[in-house]
Amino acid sequence: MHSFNRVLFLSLGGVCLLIIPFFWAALAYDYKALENVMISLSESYFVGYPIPELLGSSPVDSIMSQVFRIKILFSLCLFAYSLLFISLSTVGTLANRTKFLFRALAIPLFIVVVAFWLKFIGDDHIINKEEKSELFLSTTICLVLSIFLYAYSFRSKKKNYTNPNHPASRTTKPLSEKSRSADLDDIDKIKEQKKQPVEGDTIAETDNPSVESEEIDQNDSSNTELVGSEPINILPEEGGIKTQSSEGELNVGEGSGNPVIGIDPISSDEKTETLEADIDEMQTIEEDVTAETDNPSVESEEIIQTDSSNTELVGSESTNILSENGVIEAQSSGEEQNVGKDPVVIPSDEKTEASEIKEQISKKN
Amino acid sequence: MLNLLKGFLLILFSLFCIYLLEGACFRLVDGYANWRLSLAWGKPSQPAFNPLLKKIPLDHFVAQPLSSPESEHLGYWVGRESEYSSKIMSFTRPLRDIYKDFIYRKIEPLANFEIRDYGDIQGVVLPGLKKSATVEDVQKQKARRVGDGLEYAKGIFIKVIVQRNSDSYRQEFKDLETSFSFLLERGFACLVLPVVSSDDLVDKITRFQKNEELLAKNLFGWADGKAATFLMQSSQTKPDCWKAIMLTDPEEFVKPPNVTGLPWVYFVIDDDRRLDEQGLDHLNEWIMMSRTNENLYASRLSGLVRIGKRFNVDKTIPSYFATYALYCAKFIEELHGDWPEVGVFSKPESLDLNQSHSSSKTFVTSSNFDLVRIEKKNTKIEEEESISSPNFTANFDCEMVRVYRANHSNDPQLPLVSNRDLILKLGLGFEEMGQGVLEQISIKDPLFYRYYNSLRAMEDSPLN
Repeated sequence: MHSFNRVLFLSLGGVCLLIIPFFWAALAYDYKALENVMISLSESYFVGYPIPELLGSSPVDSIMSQVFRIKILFSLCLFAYSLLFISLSTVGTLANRTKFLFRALAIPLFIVVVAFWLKFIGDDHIINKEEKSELFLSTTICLVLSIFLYAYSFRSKKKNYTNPNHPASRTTKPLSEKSRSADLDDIDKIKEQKKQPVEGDTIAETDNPSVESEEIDQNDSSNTELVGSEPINILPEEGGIKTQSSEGELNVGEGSGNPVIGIDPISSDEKTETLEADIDEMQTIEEDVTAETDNPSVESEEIIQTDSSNTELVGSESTNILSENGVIEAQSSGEEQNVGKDPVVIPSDEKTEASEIKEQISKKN
Repeated sequence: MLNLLKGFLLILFSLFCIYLLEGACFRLVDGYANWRLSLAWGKPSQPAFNPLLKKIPLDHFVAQPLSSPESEHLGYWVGRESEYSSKIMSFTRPLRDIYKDFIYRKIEPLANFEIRDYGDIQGVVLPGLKKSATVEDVQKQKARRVGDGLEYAKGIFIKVIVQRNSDSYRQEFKDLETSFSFLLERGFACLVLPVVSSDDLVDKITRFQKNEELLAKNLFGWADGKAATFLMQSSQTKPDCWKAIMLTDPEEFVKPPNVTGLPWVYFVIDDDRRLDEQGLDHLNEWIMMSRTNENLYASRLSGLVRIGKRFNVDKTIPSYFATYALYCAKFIEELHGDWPEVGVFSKPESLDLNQSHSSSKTFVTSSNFDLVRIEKKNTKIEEEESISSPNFTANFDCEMVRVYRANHSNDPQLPLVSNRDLILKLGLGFEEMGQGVLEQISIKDPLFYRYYNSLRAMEDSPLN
């Protein structure tokens, strides 16, 4: 199943590629308007320079050769960008596509600006005030645009640490809307009582300090293309959680390529979350336990508010619970469930551990 | 390692950005361009290359083209000279921008300036600069009493034209009004001077200088076509009457006087003109002679050649001439009267331009005139020429032939073909390729074009 933006890139590349033969065919069949555009372009000036001269033409060249040069360069440019668009459509995620697109725009733009300035500095070319304004305006726009695009293509992911000792990534919270940040004291106590690792909620992500924070990408259909995903297998001997997808694409999270097994809506108002944390203490502890015992090797994931096309969580509140039979389920109060429609099965030898932890929590409270 | 590489790249990028910014400042800011020039060359009164800056490839340190062109055709040399001129005068670009803008915008350019006649010299536009008369001025009867205002100017810019009728004078004056206004605002007086001959020009100028000593101290002449030839001849007759002459495509090049301390010269010639070698040898001599000066500024800024394009269309003073006159006057002012005097040129070896400013005294003044030594030198040069001349044979060597031979080095038959035949073959090929191809080739390789035309003329000759 192709996402909309992937199709958009592909079709854009295709259209650009198709324009080239049409362009040359139109010129070959004496399409006057297009020919006139090319001729008027060859007679245009930029900062006092004739456009063909900026494209490498010699002032003594005939108009026909200057026009031909413009045509060739236009075609080459179009060809290069059509290839770029097509190749971008094969890139995994929308975020990566956007990044590559921005870089492909920013870097050539910057190079063009720099090349022009090098020419301008070296040349014996005199300009008046209007041309100076033109120069500064175009340079400013191009530079700002290229820097902005370039910076955006390298934008750092948001880090949302509430406690320096406990870098609670946003992925640790959103297992349910009411889930809250970890209580370290409780975790330590539980740890002391039960030191062996507990396989926890597969939806929750690692709370390891090394785990990076993730981005929240709303309505990204490309990121949540879960086609025929299979149950997630937990491998206890490795002390971690691994996910497998036998068919289709389990592509969750921007660019990380790591699976995220729970998809929950995140309340943007974190203040409200903090207030609610007191009320939902028990749930918080429960979640923290699962987060703490997660595999540290698991890398960052991203919580994605789901696209209606894939997960269709419309106004739903999903909560994760450890069910009686030891199955971790992602439940939704809405009409439909989230990713991993199939429940996660915990091996039988671990069920007891989970039950014990639950009892500990109940005692504490 | 990766971090180190990243840091290195970051430093490189930062340096590149600084280079661009510095270049942009030099290109656009007049004050900065002047400051950098003075930093590179020192003050005009105490000129010296900055040893640190000299290591950087700045425009100020660009090497002067050698006087002996590698291919014996002076057209190549003119091309290199044009590049040198644009580089060495790059510091004038911000002022030229201002000038260009001024030309477009100024309305009623001479409204605030007085126009006065001085005998034969009519229509001198005065900048309105005055200075108080001294006792000496009173004694010389230039002023009635001490403190009276005396008219003066930093220089007079004179456009020399061939005298035809009053209409042509009026039209010329009208065309130049805006340019004059720019110079007037910077302390220059301006004048359009119609003359019938070079003698007439010298006569008028000498009389004017004699009568208006203060005003006509520094004269800067500009002329084109036939008038340019008059101007060159006037410099030949009386080299010290001009501080600088600017010549646009002279009708005929005349030989320079064999003296030092020539006025600064700035030639502009048409691109087609350089294809024709006739007169270029005189141009070459002018350039070399005017550069024989100890002063760094004079040796660098005097003797410039530029290939022009639209000088027949644009009737205003070209921006490079206007700024050249302004900077010349500025440097004269900073020299505090230490302008080189006219002397007899004695040492042909000093034409090696790159050493001209650093060599010891390359000329002697008229008091040290040594005829015997000059004759000895001349005899020596003649002997050298007589030795070298028999070896000279026309081998029709040019860039196009060299490139062709290099590209077809695999062809075993090619070494057997002479350059002459190759030129004919290539030239005919270019002609067959269509109209304009040979013209473009002539721009790229003027020597090839010349050889080809000569060979074709010989082929077409009825004697053959």
